Amino acid sequence: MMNSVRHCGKTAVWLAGLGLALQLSGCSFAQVRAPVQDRSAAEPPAAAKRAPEEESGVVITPYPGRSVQEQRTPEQAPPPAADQQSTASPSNSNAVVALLDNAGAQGRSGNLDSAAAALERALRIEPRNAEIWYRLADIRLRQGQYDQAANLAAKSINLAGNNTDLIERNKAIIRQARQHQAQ
Amino acid sequence: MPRKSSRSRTRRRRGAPFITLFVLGLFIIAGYVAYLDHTVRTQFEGKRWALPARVYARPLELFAGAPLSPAQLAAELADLGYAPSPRLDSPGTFQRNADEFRFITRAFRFWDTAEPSLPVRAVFEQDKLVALENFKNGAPLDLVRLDPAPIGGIYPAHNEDRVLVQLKEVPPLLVQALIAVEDHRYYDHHGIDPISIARALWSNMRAGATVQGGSTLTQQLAKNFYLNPDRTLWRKTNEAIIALLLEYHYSKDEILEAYLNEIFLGQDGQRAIHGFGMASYFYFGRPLNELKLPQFALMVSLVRGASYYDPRRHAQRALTQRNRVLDVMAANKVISAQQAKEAQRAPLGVIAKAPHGASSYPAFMDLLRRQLQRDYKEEDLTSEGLQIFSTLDPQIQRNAERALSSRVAQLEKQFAIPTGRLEGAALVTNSENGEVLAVVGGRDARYSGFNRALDAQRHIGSLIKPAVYLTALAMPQRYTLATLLQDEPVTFQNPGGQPWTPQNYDRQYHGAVPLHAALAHSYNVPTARLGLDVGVANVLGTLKKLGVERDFPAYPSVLLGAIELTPAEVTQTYQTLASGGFRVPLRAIREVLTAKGEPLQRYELSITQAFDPAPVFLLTNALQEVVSAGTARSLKSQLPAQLTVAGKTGTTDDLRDSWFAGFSGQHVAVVWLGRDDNKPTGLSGATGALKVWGDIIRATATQPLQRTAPGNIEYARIDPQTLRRVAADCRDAVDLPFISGSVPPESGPCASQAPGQVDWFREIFR
Repeated sequence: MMNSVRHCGKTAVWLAGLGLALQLSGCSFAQVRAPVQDRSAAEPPAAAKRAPEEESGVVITPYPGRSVQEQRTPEQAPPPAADQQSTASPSNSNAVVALLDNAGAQGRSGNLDSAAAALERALRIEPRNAEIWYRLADIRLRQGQYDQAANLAAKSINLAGNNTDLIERNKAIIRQARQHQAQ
Repeated sequence: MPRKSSRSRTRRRRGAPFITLFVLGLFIIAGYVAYLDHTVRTQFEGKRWALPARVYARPLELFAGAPLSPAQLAAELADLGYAPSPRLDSPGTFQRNADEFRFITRAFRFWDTAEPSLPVRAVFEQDKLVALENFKNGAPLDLVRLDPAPIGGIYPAHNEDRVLVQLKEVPPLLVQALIAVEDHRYYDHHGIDPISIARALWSNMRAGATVQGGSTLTQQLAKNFYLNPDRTLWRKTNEAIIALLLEYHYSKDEILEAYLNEIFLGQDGQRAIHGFGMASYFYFGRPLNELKLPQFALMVSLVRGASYYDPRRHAQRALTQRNRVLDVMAANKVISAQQAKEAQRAPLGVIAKAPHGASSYPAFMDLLRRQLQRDYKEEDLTSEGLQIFSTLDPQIQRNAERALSSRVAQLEKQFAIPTGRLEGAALVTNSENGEVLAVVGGRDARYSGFNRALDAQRHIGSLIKPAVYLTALAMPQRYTLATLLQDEPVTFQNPGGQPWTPQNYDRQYHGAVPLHAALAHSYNVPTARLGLDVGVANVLGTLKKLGVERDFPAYPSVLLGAIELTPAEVTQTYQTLASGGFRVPLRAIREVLTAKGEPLQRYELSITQAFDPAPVFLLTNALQEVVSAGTARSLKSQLPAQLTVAGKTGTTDDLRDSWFAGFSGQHVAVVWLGRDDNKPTGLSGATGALKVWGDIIRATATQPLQRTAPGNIEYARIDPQTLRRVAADCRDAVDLPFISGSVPPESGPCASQAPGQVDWFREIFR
């Protein structure tokens, strides 16, 4: 960029010498935005953190998907009964629970993009958690992305094993998405 | 021109030439100053600099239970330039005590939220993060996101690189050092400093040459910002006018801030390092606000000559100059003599290798740029200072690079391949969300030329077979894993071509082979028969649904992989298998923010169900058998026993291409080895690419493959002799998954094992 500025400057000096100064909008000085970015402006409390009083001391949670039962291969222990999540909590991981809480809050206040982002973050931690896929399907439904809603719900069903309640909720999303698409 | 000169001749004849010239002269000078004024203000108030887009790696997420080793956290903190510190008093510092880390994170603004700076204590047990808490108040922390490592920028051909800083975030000590050394009367002059000029003139006259500059900071800015570096009187005059104009229009602080961002402080190939914000990363690998006195002094000494005092090439010279700067600071009472002395004892502290400008990961950046170019103009990418949050996992990337380059060198020796001829490529993705974690474009991962991962189109050989078998398994009335296929000599007539007699890799025929075993052992003959039964066009249709966007002619030879795909295309197809039949476009970008941190665009997760989950489940079962008992069984010696994976070897005619594509419960990885000149290498998929694949997966924290059986999958106990269903207590029988309605009929009593018969089922568990 400095090269072009320098070049422009020289040309301009020559033109100015002929008394033709001033109208030089063609030169590359014109740019768009103020340059200095403000990183310091961003210091609100992290929304994803839950209040400390909900916890008692340091929580050590087994990483989901590493339990003894789940380490058996399908051949050794058929037929596998799915990565069952208890209906009480959508995950054993505090990190995932915190993200789901955050996504829920964002979703309730209408920040659907932020809710989806939090759910995608949760999926990076537990990619095979059917409940998270269901919640993402639900957000897409609310965003009017019916095709995605149906596909994500199908994905959730695929991971839901014999969690019939979750399967039914997903089927409801698919039905609604299809209805909207038919309209 | 002729018209003008004739007019002035006319005027001269009228008898007032002198006045005319004088007025014209005044007009020119006034016009020129007005022009300079316009230039100065336009540039100073507009966007001053073209800022390259800055690309970040994925941020590391820390949480109790994370599959992360202490070594991996240490590597991440090193990437981020966190400094070991006994006092642990500022962001970007850490302490490690065996399996326990304490560190203070940096605040960082992400797409969704701003992460505050946090004092974190992290405790590991083996290769797992087991506890995470705030070490100041002991409160547990559910989830901590570290700041992301910058991995490169997107530049025009010749470029300036800078990280903009605001005056208020620049440590005062740096500013004081700069003023003390370069222009100690900065706050007292109006752009030019007659006292300094006089002094400079005097010493220049005595020396008979220009040896000393009397330039103020404002003049230096004027020179750098608006003018070329020639030392001519004309340039000096312009510089002085511009300096006065700058001081007339703007405050001292505004000028100082521009100076701090403009000044040239180093060169890295075609990349010029401008401003203290960038120089801080370039020399010390850390942000400016984490540096201390000796580092400030070193950077200030570079103002006089960034290449002459280059601390990497002329360490002694740089050290001397830095200490001189410290002396001047002490003499100007910016620091005490004691502080100067202490700082002078400090080493230069420069990181050995400058962070790569364009990127240390050219193959990944290539993919990222191609994806960005769908949505952004090249000009915006190189000038708007966009912040791009990528999906790259630097640790997996380095594992993949290391695995490829060291195995390739070893295989060259082992298979007598001319040194330097064996090439390769590798990709690693997240198996469920399609995020690309690593791309290696060749054995020299730093080389940014031919990107084999994206651009090498090679025959895929047996990597096509899952598409053949998936097409069949999607028809449960006709095919199950237990269907017997005939492995006997057969000849097909290519339409309008020569007859085609497929051969097995081992040049033998194996009689009647169950479908799952034919895939696990990669037998060509039964695969070709099966493919012709289901139809070549249908197999190509399956390939398309798996994610290959190009079309191929429906020749029978397609069934054995006579089509050319890139490693990236292969990755896309295996991604669809790994995620249970859901196609997920490979993504290298998560979010794009403006230079100011405003959200611009999010590349969201988007999936398409391409297949019914049940046949994909059956296929994956057979692909696991490839590893447990088939062509990839040598992998077992490379991986821990509990790490179940699935995959497929690929070998092409005369051993020109060696492939392995496979997935764990969390990652998809594809490796290709071969020669750029397409000559044979002597490597099969199992002896070549599979080794690299095993190295990559072993070094990566990944989860075993666990699939959830879809609702319409039933397990049945099958007699390996009769391939019929038998009673549950049959000792020699095995459990095999079937799609509901396709379970073989029950045959009653257990069959006995006939001697000499190959037991295709037993070997699954070898």
